[in-house]
Amino acid sequence: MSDPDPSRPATRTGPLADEPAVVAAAVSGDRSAFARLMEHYQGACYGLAWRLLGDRDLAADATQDAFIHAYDHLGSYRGGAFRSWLMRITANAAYDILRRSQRRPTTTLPDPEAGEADLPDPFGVNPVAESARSELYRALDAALRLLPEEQRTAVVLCDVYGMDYHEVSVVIHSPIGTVKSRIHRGRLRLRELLADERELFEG
Amino acid sequence: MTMIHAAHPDPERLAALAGDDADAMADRGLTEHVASCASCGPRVREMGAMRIALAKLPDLAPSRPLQYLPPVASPAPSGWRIAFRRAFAPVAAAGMVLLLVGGVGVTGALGPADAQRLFNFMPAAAPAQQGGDPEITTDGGAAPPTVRESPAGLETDGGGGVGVMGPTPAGPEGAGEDDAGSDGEPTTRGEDLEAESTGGTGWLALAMAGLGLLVLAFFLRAAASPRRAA
Repeated sequence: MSDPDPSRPATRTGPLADEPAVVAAAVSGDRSAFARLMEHYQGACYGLAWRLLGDRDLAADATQDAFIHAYDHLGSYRGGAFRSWLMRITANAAYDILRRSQRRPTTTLPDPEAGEADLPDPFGVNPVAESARSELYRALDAALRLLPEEQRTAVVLCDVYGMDYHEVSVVIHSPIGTVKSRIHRGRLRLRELLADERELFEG
Repeated sequence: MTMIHAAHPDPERLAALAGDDADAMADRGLTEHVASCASCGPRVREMGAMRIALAKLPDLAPSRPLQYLPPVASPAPSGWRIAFRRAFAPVAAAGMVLLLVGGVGVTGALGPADAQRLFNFMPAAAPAQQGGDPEITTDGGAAPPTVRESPAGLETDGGGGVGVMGPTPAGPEGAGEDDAGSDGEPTTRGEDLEAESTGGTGWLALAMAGLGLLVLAFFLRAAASPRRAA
């Protein structure tokens, strides 16, 4: 069995080796440094946006919006993990698009179980990835799509992207108590949806 | 050793515990129950495993190429460019108004009837006139006799005529040929034409000023626009 293509984003994007220097250069106005950061983290931002929006085009729009917002607000970056800062911006951009799309006539979300969902392959290229890990990821993404939107947003931000209650409450403009409740109910619902895939987690 | 409990905690408390919620973990009653309950313990462990898997969901390749940088903004225009740009509209509007008013005035002052009268005023046109309306005189008393056309034929007034635009003596033959003004004062045709000619010139000047303002406006516009690279 051959190793997976290293160019494929098979997992989470880690920080650049020289990230502090690149971030410092970007903050001081080096456009090429900023472009390097965005190129590096585009998969992370797009993944978050897609999991919140469930639509490839909207996710790309949200990611693009996030890049522009990040560029315009680099001065507000106060250190810490650049990825987390960028992910918060992306979450806000995606959530804005989500709210705007809710004001328009909505269409029914495709049913992932019926094979209708716009589910990207986690490895980006091969749609028939056979590994158990790929199968698990597809099952998780499909189950997330079946959650009510409020629960999905909270679970994605908290459990998938590691934001704390306060960060989630800022993104979705809701009290922390509401955020906790949505996350907890979302986990319970997700467990029910994944009842048939239990062995994938425990393997 | 697992135990069967009569009352299980709220499921949301179990989900909180699975998410390492600080409040839930500090709840000894909850943690002890989960540790010993055959129903709640596996539920919490499943949700915990699920959280670990969720946290490993991979990043995704964007569905289309993204731009990493916003386009470079063009430099802000300098002060005089802004002033020129702002001046364009009022100057152009003023020019249009003057051109329009002057044009209408010129057209009115030199309308068909006026043009006909002006045409009749010219010496070369005199033979063609049938009514013998205007006098054609030369300037000064020493001028040659005025040639006058009348229904009876050409007449001369003996050379004592007045200037072209001067009043014509109210002679027996001249009085009837003078135009009367609207106020009843007798005026000569020459005075009318002089006034109309002066008015026409004024309208023309107005129109030309408008044209000049339009040219100026477009100059301002051209000067204010940013220079494009070749």
